[in-house]
Amino acid sequence: MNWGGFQSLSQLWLLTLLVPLVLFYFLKLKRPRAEIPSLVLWRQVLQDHRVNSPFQKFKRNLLLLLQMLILLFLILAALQPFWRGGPGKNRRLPVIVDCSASMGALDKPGGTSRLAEAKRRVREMIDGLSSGQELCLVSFDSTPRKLTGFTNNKRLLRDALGQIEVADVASDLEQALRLVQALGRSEPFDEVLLFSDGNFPPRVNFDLSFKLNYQRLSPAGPNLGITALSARRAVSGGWDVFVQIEGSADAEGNATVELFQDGNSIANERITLARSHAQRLVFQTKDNRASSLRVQLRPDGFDSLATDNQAYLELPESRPLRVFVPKTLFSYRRALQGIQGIQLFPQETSDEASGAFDLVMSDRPQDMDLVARTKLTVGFIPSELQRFIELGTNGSAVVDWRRDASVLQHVQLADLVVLDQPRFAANAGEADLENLGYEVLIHGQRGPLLLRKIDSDALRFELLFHTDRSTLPYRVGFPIFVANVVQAALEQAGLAEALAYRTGVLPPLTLTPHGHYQIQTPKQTVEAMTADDHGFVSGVAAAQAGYYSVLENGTQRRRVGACLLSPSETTLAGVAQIEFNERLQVAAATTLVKTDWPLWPALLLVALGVLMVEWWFFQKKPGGWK
Amino acid sequence: MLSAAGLEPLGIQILSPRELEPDVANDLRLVDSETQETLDVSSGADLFNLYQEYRQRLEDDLALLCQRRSGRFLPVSSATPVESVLFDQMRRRGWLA
Repeated sequence: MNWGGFQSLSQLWLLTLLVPLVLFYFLKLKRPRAEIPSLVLWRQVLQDHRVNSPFQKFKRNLLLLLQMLILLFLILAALQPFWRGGPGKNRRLPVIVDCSASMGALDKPGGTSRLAEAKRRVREMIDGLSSGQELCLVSFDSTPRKLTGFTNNKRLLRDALGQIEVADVASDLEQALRLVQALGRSEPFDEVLLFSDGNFPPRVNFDLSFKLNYQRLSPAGPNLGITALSARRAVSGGWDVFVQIEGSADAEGNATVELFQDGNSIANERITLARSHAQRLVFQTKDNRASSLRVQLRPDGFDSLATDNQAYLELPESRPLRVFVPKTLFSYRRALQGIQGIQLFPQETSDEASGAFDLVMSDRPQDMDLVARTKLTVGFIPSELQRFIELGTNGSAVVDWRRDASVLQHVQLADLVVLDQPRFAANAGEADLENLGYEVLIHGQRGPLLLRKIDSDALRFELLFHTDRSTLPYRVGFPIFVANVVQAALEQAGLAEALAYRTGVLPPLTLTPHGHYQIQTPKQTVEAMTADDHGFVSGVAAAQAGYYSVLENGTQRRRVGACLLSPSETTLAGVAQIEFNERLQVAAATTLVKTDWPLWPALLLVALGVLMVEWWFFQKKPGGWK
Repeated sequence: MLSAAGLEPLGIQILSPRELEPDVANDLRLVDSETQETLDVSSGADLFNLYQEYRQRLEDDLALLCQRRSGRFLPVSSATPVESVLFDQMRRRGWLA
């Protein structure tokens, strides 16, 4: 067994310092002279056998011996000896530190967060790092970050460790492991150390190719938090606001939930939460104007995680849905007339239709150039699909349809007669459509009849047959189908439902095209962004819960709140065992990571002790001294 | 003989303060003030007790020598003024009336 060793054997040359020490001792400065009347007594004393005993000879050279001892201890300290704590040396060790939202949870009132505990343990490892060992620090929340390469530089590692902060997002262990696996291709290692509270899914889709030492941190204290927040437009006007409160397994008790609208408290409610139960609340607001909601949760007792006690929701202004349908599509315009809250273009008395729309339904390809978040094409093949689908005239019938698709809810398509025949081109299939992001909602005899494509900010439905050349307009399901498309457009425009923004990445913000903006985060850092051709500012990172202000030349243009809203993070559930592919299971380690114990501080203390003894011994007054 | 002749021997040992309490805390080179002979002493403070033991033994021997001859003995430091020796120490011991 390897008990320990020296980190810096190259310092052995310091042993040569013993030579000058001995030389200086014997060639030390001239003795001071003391004149006395007679040497008789001193001669007798020096001839005494006690003076010449081996012990006295030793004592006579004690100064030299003590000085040599001090020097040896100092040289030994310079060699940096260590007592072996962990497994062998000369190895690389990636250390993964979880910094997701749950790692900010405290263990007790005024206690330490899980991340602080993890950092303390990693710092101990860094302090005990041997010269042959290298660490690589990786932190992860929803995305992994490589903080250092493999290095032995303790200052670098400590600085990187100090930079790790809790991000108010859920964790993704799989991504972190993939990053570490990639590191191993250039710099191989055998083992990876993971510090986490275990708040991630128990099943990880990853082929584990190294030994994972899962150091699970002790669980945090009880926690209550807001896990869902949304609003739906009420039939009577205004909004119904839905709030869901959940807690960790050991959390129970009372709390107050307060709703603020534009900074003013408009409602509050007391709740009592039982263990492992969720509480759902509904608040009503009568305001139809655009406003900003904030929900504040105040638990009566100790709450280990503060970041999930607030949630934010932006309510859009109520307005009619702007729909464009050419006058040639008479059946659609007729169906739309029976739906409330629709502003139909072009109007019956005019052909004018300009500006942006919420929904465009048309059988004319040129109308697809109109700006709208939701579009329905009727009776033609979009250009990007013409390679895979061609339009025949032999007629078709519905084979099957997605009954769970919201746009086809309550729409009966059996026995529908279709005169057009959309069919797959030679060597084309459904997979080609899926590669382009399309989903088949209605299957015809030889090809799809209805497709759906969801982009980041656009929703498209492609009816590949013309409804005027089918029996669909004459069926009960047609106005329902149109109403479903309108409902989808309402949701896409944010007019029917409003969802709170989650932390991570903010959804695209609609601003002025090509405008230059600064995004101010809750931590007051600023990031410059530019709006695209459509005025969308996309990809705004939101790692912290709180308000994000969009500034233009220093003036606030818009403010949106991002909140955690993660049941898994709020419940602080931690897995004791992780299952990887091929049923490979890794249990949390039962023992702490042992680190090498450096002995040089102890040696320095011993040297100091010897120095003190020497000082005391030679400065003490002998017995009888007056 | 002195006693038989009716004489009383009186012994006085005069030692300098350096002989009584030598300052030998560290290494030292002792020099005989008469012969200029030298003697190196290392770790002198350690030898202090031994020196005092020898000095006290010499003093006791001299006192015993005088006592056996019905005499008297007085150790004196050369730092003590003569007046003090004559009119204090000797008078208190009955050497001088």
